[in-house]
Amino acid sequence: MKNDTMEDKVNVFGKNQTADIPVKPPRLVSGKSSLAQFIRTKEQADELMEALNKAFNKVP
Amino acid sequence: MATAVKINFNDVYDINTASREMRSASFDTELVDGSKKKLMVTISDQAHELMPDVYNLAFGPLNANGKIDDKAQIKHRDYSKAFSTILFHARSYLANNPDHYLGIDGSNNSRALLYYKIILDNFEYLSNHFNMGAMKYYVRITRFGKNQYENPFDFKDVKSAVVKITRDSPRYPEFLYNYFIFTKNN
Repeated sequence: MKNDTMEDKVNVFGKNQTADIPVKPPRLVSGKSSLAQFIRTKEQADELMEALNKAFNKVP
Repeated sequence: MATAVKINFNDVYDINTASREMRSASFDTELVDGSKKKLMVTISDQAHELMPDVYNLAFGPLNANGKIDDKAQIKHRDYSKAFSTILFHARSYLANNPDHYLGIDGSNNSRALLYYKIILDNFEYLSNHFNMGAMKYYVRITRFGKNQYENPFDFKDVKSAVVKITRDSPRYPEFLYNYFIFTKNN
């Protein structure tokens, strides 16, 4: 049985060697608000707005 | 940048406001070599689609594609005046839009740390004009067995926490925030 080198183990992007290996995780894109990139659901947005309003003592 | 930034809205560069809604403005900052560099300050045209009052403020020189380069390395002759001008514009915008939140992204860790330090160093002054908050992102790291991917950060799986910045907010550099939020101080 071949022993994988460290490079084999780490450098698995795009190879999809088994179904269990996740695809390459996304990065944040420069030049675009990170908030806009990761707040994707209404639940996330509501949670964040609640935290913001609480921090700033605003009544929604 | 060796000297501390001191925010003073009475010492700012002349600002050219390109739109009546104040979403786009520019000013010429003086560089250490004596030349001038045009910096843009833009506020997003639209709020986040799920957060109707949250707008993003970005600043920096324009790149070849006409977009703000928020990673540009600029050697200002007067950092205090440059940052005072940016925040002066933010204050003017919020005076016209008192229900809006303005967010400033730290484009990398060192920028984020710099913005936080500027806010804390000028807290007494800035708190007369703004309510200020900070956000910290917790991002899931994915791993393959014992080994970590080159890019392990899964930005589809993010947890955020918001705090209000106060004069007692922690100052040690490990306390890193990613995003800063300003509202008008009533």
